[in-house]
Amino acid sequence: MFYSGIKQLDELLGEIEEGRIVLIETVGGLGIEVAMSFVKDALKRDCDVFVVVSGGKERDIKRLLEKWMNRVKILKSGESFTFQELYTISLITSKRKEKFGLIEILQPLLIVHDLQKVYSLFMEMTENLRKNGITVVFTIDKKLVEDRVLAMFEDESDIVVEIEEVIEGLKIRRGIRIKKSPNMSPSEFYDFKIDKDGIHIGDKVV
Amino acid sequence: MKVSTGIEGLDRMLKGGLIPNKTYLISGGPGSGKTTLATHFLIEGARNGENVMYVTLEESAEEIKEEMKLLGFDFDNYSVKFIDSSPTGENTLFGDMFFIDLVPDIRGFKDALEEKIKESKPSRIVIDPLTMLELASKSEIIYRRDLLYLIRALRELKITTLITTEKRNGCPEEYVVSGIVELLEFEIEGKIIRGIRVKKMRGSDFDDTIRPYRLTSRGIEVYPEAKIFE
Repeated sequence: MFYSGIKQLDELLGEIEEGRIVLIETVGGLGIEVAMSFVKDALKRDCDVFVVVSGGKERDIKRLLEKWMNRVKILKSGESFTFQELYTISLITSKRKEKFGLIEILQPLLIVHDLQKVYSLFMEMTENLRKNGITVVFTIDKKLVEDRVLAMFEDESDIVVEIEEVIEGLKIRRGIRIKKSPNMSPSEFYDFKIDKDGIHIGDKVV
Repeated sequence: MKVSTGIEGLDRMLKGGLIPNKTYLISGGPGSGKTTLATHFLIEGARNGENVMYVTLEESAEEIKEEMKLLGFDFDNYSVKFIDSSPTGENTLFGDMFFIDLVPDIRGFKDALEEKIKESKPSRIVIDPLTMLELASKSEIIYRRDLLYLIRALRELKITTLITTEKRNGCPEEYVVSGIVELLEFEIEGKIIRGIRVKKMRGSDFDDTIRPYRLTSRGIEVYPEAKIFE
């Protein structure tokens, strides 16, 4: 079983079984911390983890997961796969021995390739990961895709966590909700804040 | 019992390999790996203790040996009979006449080759590429007819043959061979993505999906479980 590592979010989500696909819908880079929280929690539970990222993000990953790097396998572009060769991504994810992973490359893929190809790849990856009982968190930037496209990826995922950001004049409001879950009902938006002390989920947004 | 191509991923696409004693076409653009694929095929035979023959009609035998050595294939370590019929080769199949007068045509090539085959008795042959012989034929009809004679002769001599060509889609060779393996290229954001496809394979089941392959420092690697997504 896996968890988000964020107490209030775990109350909304419940336990995450092995072989589940989690999609975190971010707003720009806002929300990546939620994905990383899932990863850290898995590591704290002595689970080996793999992370699929573009080459430029490797340093950030290493900094955030410094304490556990001996149990983290980083698969980065240019080395383990290329963005142009979609099959290389399918291949590296089909051969994982780790039981938990983070795949943070949907954004660059959607820029380089047609949606249809990226979606085909996503379907193939999720099928293989489920078959192998591997729980994986994917992130997708809502700003880069239309609603229809988002719906396609949501449909293929077991759990969907949505981050939202609304700017009202000079005021920014951020929220998080469970949009889809096999074990729990979809939730309302809750206040969502990130500061130097971590992630905070507050009251329901009225 | 099927004949291995020497490339594990391709053998899987072919459900075990090639049916023996038949002729197969390997088509692909320049640099796609036709010669490398042919080399895998012959070295596999040589490793099994078979007599094998490489007939080169464009690049000289020395050039091929040097290029393949860089990929870890040292022909000198294996018993591979080279017939160098290239324009710059020293020991042509026909002496000096072939490239000066463009005669004889495929019939002449077949007769000359049969003599060499009787000497060496190979079980595998590569003819690389066939394009030069087409130029020698007076017409397409004659070319096709003579190609059939050549393929029949090779079958009767119980030789599994790979013929390479740069032509694609509806070329005469496609109609007369027992199987076709295509090497394809796609360009994505400045990068060449390579795909291999079994287009035809008479008498055998095969995987007809385009699968990715790479030209590596160890030759060709085919990924039969992956999709090309193109």
